[in-house]
Amino acid sequence: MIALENTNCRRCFYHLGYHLAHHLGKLFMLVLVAVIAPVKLCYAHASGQSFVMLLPTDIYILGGVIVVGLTIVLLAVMPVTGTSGLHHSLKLWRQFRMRWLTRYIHMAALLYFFWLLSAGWYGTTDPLRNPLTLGFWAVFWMGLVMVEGLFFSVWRWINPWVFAYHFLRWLTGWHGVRGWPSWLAHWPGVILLFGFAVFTLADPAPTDPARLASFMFAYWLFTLIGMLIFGFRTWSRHVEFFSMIMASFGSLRMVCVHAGVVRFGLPGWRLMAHRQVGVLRSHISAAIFLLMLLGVGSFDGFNETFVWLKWIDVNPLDFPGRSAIIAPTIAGIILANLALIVIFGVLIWMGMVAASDQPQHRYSMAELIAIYAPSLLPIALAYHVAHYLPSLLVEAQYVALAIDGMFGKDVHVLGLQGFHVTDGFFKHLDWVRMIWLIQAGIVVAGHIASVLVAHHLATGRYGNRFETVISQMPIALFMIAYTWLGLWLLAAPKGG
Amino acid sequence: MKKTSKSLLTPRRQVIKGAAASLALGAVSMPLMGRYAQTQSAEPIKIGFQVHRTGIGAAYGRWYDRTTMAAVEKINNAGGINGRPVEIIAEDDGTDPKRGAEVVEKFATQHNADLAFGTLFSHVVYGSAPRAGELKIPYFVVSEGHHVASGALNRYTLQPGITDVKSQVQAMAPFVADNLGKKVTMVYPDFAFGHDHRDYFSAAIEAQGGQVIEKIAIPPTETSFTKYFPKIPRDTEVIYHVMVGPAVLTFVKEMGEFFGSSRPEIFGFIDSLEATDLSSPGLEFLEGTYFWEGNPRYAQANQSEYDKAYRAAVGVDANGASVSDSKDVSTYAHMFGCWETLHIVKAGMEASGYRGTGDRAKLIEAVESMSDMPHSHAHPQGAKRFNGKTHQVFGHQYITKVSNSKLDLVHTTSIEDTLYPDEVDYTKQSF
Repeated sequence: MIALENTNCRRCFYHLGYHLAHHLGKLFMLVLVAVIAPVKLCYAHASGQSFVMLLPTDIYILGGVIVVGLTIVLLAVMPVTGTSGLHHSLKLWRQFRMRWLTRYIHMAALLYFFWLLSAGWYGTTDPLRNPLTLGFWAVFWMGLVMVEGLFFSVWRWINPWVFAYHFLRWLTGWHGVRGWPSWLAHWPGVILLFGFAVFTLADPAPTDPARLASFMFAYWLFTLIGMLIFGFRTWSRHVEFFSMIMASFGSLRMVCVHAGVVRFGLPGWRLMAHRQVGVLRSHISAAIFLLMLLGVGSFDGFNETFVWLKWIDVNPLDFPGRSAIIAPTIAGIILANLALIVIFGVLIWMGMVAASDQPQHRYSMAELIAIYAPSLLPIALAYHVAHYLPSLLVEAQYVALAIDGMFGKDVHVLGLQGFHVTDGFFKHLDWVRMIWLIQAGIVVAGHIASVLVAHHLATGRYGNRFETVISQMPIALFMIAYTWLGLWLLAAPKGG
Repeated sequence: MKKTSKSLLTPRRQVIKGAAASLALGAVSMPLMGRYAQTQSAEPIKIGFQVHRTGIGAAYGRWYDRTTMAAVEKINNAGGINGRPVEIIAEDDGTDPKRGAEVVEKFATQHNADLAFGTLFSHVVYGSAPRAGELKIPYFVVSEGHHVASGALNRYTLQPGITDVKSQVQAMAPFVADNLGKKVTMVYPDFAFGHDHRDYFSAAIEAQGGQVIEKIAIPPTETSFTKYFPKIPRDTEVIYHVMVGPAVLTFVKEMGEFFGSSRPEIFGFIDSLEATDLSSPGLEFLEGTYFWEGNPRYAQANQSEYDKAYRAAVGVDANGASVSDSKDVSTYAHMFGCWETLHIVKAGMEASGYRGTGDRAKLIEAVESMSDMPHSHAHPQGAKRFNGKTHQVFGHQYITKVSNSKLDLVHTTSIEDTLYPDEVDYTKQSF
C-alpha cells in the first residue's frame, strides 16, 4: 500500500515536473520570442509563407547563427584597440538650418495631420483606400519609422504637435512650464507604448478609419495639453511615445547630427559615443521602454505562428478572428515583455557575477538593465524593418493608388490608370527566396550591430579584458539564441 | 526652447495668413470632394460591402473587391439600378465574426445602406447573419457555405450568386466513380471545413456505388505529411484531397515524393491551390490529376463570350492572373460570386421596383421568386437555378485536369447533379 502510494506520489511528481517543464519551456520560448519581429500592420499578406516552407530555411538559419557567433568570437579575441574605432564617426558637413522653412513645414505637417483625420472621419471606410489608415499604418508606422532609424530624421519635420504647441503658447501668452516629477521618469511613455501595443495587436479593428481618427485626435489633444503644461521637450521625452520611439531608433542612424555637425559612422555610433539613447536618459524606465519596443514587436511576429496559436488553442486554418482572442493576446504581450525583461536582466547579472567579485564592478539589477538595454535596440529596428518589408511591398501600392486618385477617380496624379495592386512576388519561389534572404540579412545585421553595442557598453566596466569577455558570455549566448529565433520566426508556418 | 518658439512665432499675421492658405489648400484635396461635386441627380443605391480586407481572408478579399468594383462599374455604365447609380461602401470585417456583425450594424444604422453583401468566410456569415436579421437588412453572402441552405440563418440572408459546398462535393461523386475509381481515400484537414468534405463526399460516393475506404484527418497545425501517406491503403483507386493553409505546397511535394511515378488517380478541390500558380515548384506532381473548380481559371477552348467579357472587366488574363502581373493569380473559382450576386441584386431591385430601405422586404421576395438564370453577361460562370425557399443557388460545377501546368476542362456537371432535398423554407419566416 505504501509502495503504491509512493509510486503514485512519484507519478504525481513526475507529472508535476513534466507540466512545470512544459510550461517553463513555453515561457522560455515566449521570452526568446519576445524580441523578434515588431508590430506588424494589420493587413495580413502571408500568401508567400507556403513558398517559404519550400525553402531550405534550416540551412539559411544555421548560416545566420554562425555569422553572429563568429562576430562574437572575433570581438572576444580582438584587442581593444581593434574594436575601439567602431564608435568613431566621420564629419560630413555642418548642419544647415532654415528656421523659416522649418516653421512652414511644421504648419503644413499639422494641416496635413488634420486633413488625414478628416479623411478618417469622412472619407472612404475602406482601410486600404483611406488616406488616414494608409498614412498612419503603412506610411508612418511601417515606413517612416524605418526611415528614421536607417536614413534620415523625418519626425522632427512631421511632428504634428510642434506648430500647435508654439502657436498656442504664442496665442495665449502662456509660458509657465511645470517641472517634471522625477519619480514619473519615462514610465508614462512605457504605459502608452503598452496601450499602443494592445491597440495594434489585440484591438479588433485598428484599421477602421473613423475609429483610428478619433483615437488619434484624442491622443493628439491629450499630448498637446500635456506639452502646454510640462513643456514640449519634457513631454516628448517622458510621455509622447512616438517621439520616444523615433528618438530611440534615430540614435541608430548611420548619418546623424551631433553638435551641429552631420556625421557618419557604423550603425549605433551615436549610441556608443553617448552611451545614451536619443533623448532618453539612462534610467530603468527608459530601459524598460527599449526592451518593450523589442518585446512588443517580437510578440507581433510570434502571435501569428502555429506554435502560439496552438498554445492558445486556436486552429490557425480556421482563425476565429481577433475579437475571439483579445485576452490571450493582451496576456501574451504582458508575458512576453515580462519574460524578456527578467531573462535579459538575469543573464546580464550572471555575466557580471561571473566576471568579477570586486565591489566597484557590482551593479544592481536595475542599473544593469539600464546600462545594457540599448544594446537590444538594433535588433528591435532590424525586426521592424524585416517584419514589415513584405507588407510594405503591398501597402506601398495602395498608398500610390490613394495618392493617384486623391482628386477623384478620373484624375490620375501619378498616371496609374489601369494599375492593379499585386502580391505576385509572394507567389514565385525566386522572389520569395530573395525577399526572405533580405529579411534574414537584416535580422542578422541587426544582431551583429547589437553585439557590437553590447561589447562597447561592457568595455571599460571591468578590471581587465578577460573579465569583460566573461561578463559578455551570457548576453552573447542570448544574441545567438535570438538570431536563431528571429530567423525561425521568418520561416515558421503562420496563420491567423 | 524659448529661442525656437520665438523664432517660430514672430510674424503673427503671416502665420495666420499662411494657415488660412494651407487650410484652403487642404480643402481642395478633402476626401470625396471631387465626388460630391458631381453629385448625381438620383440618390445612389448604397451597397454595404463586407470585405475581408485583413485577417485570414485578405487574399480572397482583394479579389472580391476587384470583382465587385468591376461589376459596379459595369452596372453603373449601363445606367445603374432603376436609373440610380450604385455606390459601394466597403467596410473591413477583419475576417472576424464579431467584427462582421458590427460592420453589418454600421451598414444598417450609420451608412443607411440598402443592403449588405460580400462575405466569404463561413464563420463571419454565421456571426453576422443574426444581426442582419435583427436589423432587417438584406444580407447577400458569397460564401459557399452550406449554412444558408441548412436553415441555420434567417430570411434576410441569401446566397444567390455562388453554390454551396454540399452541392459542389456531391456533384463530384458521379464523375469520380465513373472515371477515376470507386475506392477512395480522403485526406482532409481535421476541422469543420474538412469534415464537411468528408461527410458530403462519403455519402455521395456511396450513392454512386463507391466507398471511402480510408479517411485521413490531418491536424491543422501539421507541416509535414510523410507519416500520413503510408496510411493510404494499397487498393486505393482515388485520393481525394482538400488541404489548405501554408503547408499545402509541402503537402503536394511530399505526396509526389511518396508515390513517385506510380500513383492512384488524384482528385482535389482547387481551394487548396486557389490563387497559386500551378507552375510553382513542387506542383509538377499534380500533372494529370483532377480538380473541382467553381469557375475554370484558364480560359478554355470553348470559352463563352460572357467569360471573355467578365475577365476583361475584372482585369484577368486567359491564365486567371491579373492582366498587370502574370504571377498574381486570382481567386477565380470563387470571385465570380460577387459579380453574379450584384447582378441578382440589380434584377431583384428592378423586379420589385425598389425605391428605398422601406422596400427591403420586397427585394427579398423578388429574389425569392427567382428560379432559372441563363448563362449570360450577368452570369458568366454558367446558368443557375435559385431556390427561393432555401435562399441558395445551384449551378454547374467544373472538373478540370492538370495538363502542362494548366487546367483543362474535362467535365461540366449538370445543375441536377448538384441538387439535394430542401432543408428549410425561409419564405415561411415573417419579415
